Amino acid sequence: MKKYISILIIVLISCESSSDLGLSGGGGETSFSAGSDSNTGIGGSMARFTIVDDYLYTIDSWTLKSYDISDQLNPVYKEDVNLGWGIETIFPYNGNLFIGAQSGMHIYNLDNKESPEWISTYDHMTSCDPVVVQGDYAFVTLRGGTECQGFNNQLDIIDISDLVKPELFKTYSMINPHGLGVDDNCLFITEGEYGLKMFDISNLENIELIKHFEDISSIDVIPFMDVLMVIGSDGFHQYNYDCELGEIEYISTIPINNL
Amino acid sequence: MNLTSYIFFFFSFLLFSCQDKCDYYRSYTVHDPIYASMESIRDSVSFTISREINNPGKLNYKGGYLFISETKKGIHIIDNRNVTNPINIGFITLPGNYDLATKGDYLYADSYLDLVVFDISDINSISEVNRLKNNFDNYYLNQGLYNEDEGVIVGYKEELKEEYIENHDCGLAYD
Repeated sequence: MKKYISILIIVLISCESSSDLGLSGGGGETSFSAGSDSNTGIGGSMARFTIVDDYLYTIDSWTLKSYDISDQLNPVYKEDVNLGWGIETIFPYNGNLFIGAQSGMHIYNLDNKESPEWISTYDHMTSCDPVVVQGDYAFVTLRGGTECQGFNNQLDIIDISDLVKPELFKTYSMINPHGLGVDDNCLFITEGEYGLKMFDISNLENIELIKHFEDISSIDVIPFMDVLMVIGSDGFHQYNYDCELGEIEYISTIPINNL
Repeated sequence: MNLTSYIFFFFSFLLFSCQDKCDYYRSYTVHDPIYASMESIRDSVSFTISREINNPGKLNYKGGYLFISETKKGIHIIDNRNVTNPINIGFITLPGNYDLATKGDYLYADSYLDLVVFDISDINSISEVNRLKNNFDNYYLNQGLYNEDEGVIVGYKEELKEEYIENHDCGLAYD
């Protein structure tokens, strides 16, 4: 299966086609999710800029802006969409934008790329909450604390098979979750100063902790083609992972000294 | 409230009014904003050889290269074609940067009020090629981080201030 996926990726790259298959965040069957063609870079889950086909989207605390970048050198500002308050992250997947806000997760469709249209909101307790999506599920981490308000530290898995009615599927408690990444059966959760976790999510009713690297700092990840890129306050770390065998192995680090 | 409480209240007022007056120094810290003009910020963009990474923020990966935002300072470029030996190869000085995205030969990033476009086709010689000025001014205006006269707030300097308070109720002296 992995081989097949790799071949698919190579085909996508070589064609530089603008397929609707999102390319980012993860690297598994349906999990490519943060860009839209192979020519587009992949962002982490904390991203507030994202590119889908010929459009660049940026968010600030309240507003989503769209830009036509079909002439890539000359972005043309198109529209402001008011998103409400506490907007934090943006994740494109399958022709929709999933927007992490302090009050919940908003889903917007991109039928009209210039002006994304609100579909629904999944409300949760006030907190910081990046979101990634794979298949019929959105994975949202909620982090409490002074800068985020709120008290919860958890992973919410949300059933989005009906985009109009996102529903909580299950909640798992975490320590201090920041960014996250999903690829096939692997879910990676950064726990800030408490390390990095890898879960096997083949059974969403009972996700299984495979590995917890406790002695690194991690705030966001990009899983891509079996390599996990991790940024933390202490360094840029990389791991090789295998979702079928449920293995993860350290590769390298560029250390960071925080001022 | 019962009668005892009323009596207690009454007497506590008497206590207040009988108190001595105090003179004292009160010290406190103020955070004075440091402003910079958008013109000077726009002029400071440059591409240099790598430097140490601090305060990492957002990530973007494209074709073997990783772009790491250093919050408010700029963007580091990592050659990650060999994952066992990633190399920090360059740094774009871009004040007020938080976010970034890439497509094709271009990198899109914010710099306070502006959206800036960089040509990344030659990873060893990245250059600014376009800029949408004042694109994010609403955000900075609303947050009180920008005004047209002084520019944007790029930091704060701490100052310890002392104030002489005369003839103040002693009981309230340490507010």
